[in-house]
Amino acid sequence: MSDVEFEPIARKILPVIFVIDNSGSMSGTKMDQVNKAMSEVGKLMADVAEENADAAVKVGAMVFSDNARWITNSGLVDCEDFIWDPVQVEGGTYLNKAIDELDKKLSRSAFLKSDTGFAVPIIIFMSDGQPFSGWKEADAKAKHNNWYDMARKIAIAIGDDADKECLAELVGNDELVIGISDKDVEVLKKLIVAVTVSATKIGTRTHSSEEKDPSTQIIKETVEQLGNDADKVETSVDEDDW
Amino acid sequence: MAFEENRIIKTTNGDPIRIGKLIGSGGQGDVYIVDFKGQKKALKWYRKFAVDKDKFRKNLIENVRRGRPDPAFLWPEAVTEEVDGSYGYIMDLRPEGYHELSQIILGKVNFPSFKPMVEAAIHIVNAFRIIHGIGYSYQDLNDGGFFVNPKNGDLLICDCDNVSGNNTDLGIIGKPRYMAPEIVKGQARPNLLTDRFSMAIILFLLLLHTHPLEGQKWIDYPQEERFTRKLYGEEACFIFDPTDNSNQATKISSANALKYWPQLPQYLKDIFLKSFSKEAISTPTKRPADVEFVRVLTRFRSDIVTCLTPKCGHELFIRGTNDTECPYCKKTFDVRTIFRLAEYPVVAAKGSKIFRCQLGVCNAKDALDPVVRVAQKTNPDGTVKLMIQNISGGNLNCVDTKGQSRVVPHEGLIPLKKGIKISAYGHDFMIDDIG
Repeated sequence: MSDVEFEPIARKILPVIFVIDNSGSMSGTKMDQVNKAMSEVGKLMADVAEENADAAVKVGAMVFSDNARWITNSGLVDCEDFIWDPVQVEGGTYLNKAIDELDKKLSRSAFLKSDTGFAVPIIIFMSDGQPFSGWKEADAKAKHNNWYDMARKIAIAIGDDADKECLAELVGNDELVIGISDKDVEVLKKLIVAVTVSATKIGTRTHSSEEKDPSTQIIKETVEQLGNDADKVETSVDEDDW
Repeated sequence: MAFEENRIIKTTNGDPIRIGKLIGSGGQGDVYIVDFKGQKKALKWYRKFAVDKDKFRKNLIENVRRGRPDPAFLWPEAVTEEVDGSYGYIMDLRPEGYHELSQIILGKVNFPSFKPMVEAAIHIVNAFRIIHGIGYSYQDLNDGGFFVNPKNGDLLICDCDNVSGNNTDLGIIGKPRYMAPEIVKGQARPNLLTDRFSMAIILFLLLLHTHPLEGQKWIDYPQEERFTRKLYGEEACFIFDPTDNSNQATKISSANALKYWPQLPQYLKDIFLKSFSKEAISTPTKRPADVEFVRVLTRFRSDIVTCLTPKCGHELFIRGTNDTECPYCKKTFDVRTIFRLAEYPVVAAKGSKIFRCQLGVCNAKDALDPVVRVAQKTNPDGTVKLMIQNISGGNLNCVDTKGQSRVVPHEGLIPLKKGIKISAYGHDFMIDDIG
């Protein structure tokens, strides 16, 4: 008879939230690549998260164009329960509406309900265009929400027309933006997968005394995972560090 | 870079290594099965270096030269030549049946009973006692560094690439949640004393499936750098600290500890209370020595017995020789015979063992040598009887109840009878009755 009857160890929840531009300009290969990647990330994240004894990873996802719409509208979900139905493109790039939604839902009275509490959320923005005005005001307002303010934000700037300056301002600095040009957009799926895996592994490894902040670490590990395709993405990470 | 199968690379000595399948990828690099000197081995290949590459390589080569300090370590056996600016090292493959400690903590793999769990804890402490004893520190104790066989508690320690002379700074500081408070606060680099703190965390996690510093404050604080620095560094506080309840165990953070802590014998609680006391948190030299843990855990192993009440049969922990109540059937465990050792009594129940470190001072490598065990002998008429068996590997000198000397060979039996004295390794112990 076994008397070793332990409850699963309590873990903080680590939210990984995707905020994806599905405005008209994302049509064609860009949205195809996003749809393909996002339909795979749940399973991939579940495999990686299974090894993570430090935090329980949960997923949230939202698309934005004229409006912002949560794919996970009832809250964060376990990785294995994350299902992505292909998203169509429509409308303009109202990033402000996405930020407003994050502000609303990153709250203990909305998505952040848990007895064990949360690790700092990771928010992965993906956009190919120039957002309409209003996003700065929305961002400034949302920063009163500690969860939004503390969140580790990184961005994928898709295509040549993506507003990298805006994204850099949104996520904190240009080192946290990974760009991919129009000619290499077929690597986008691989890039999204690599970012997701790196984000899911955060906090699970040994640190060195020269440790970078966790968001920069995600970017570094993403580029490593891209292997031979690493030269197809653009980052501003200090190469002397590598 | 990723290797293609069948590629040949060489060690620093020029010995060929044939690359096989990729079997794992981690934060630092990849692991391949390889053919090396006619055997299947593992090659850990670094994809990147978070620390000084040349210093790290020099340390690895030195570890190969010194050789494996204990069979529990998956120790570097050879370092490779550089290929495309990187290198790796050869070690044994993890055998079947061994699981990462993180999988055990997550409840994905379970021990069949407490005894192998305690065996695993003893193996952990003993392995670190050995490397600390020869002047090394491990530097990066965490839940990913151990492979445990839950059936018997056997242990393998991997990631031995960081092992280096005490106070050698390789640039590694450890994994969050497992670092000693002085490292979290940026006041120290890994060393023998920080290893001891991390080891106490690992042991508490293994035995109670609860992190010893994650109580009320862990619930209150988000997992973010400023707060983790407080929780594991500036404000580090044991969940059972008798002097400070600011971070006390809660049902949410510490359900397993709340269930099992009250059942633990006081001497085991005491060593954790000492390891995570305010004094030991702030003053690393106040942390219990490895040998203290070996002795306490070996005693604990002897105190895990099976309830004799018919239809119960649960494992329970003896907390005293006449006052242990089975937490399942609520009957008092009937202790009749004990081994009266120099420092404490051990219940002589079926399966009990006495190890050399329980008799008195001994060398680290000899600490877990078994001396005797209590075995069940079946008589010709079918009745069963408990006997003591010599499992020391040599003769034991005994004095029987009439005062006569007897020599009992290895595997020989000794009656479980009050008054018999057994001598081993220069120490005596008696068989005695309670009451």
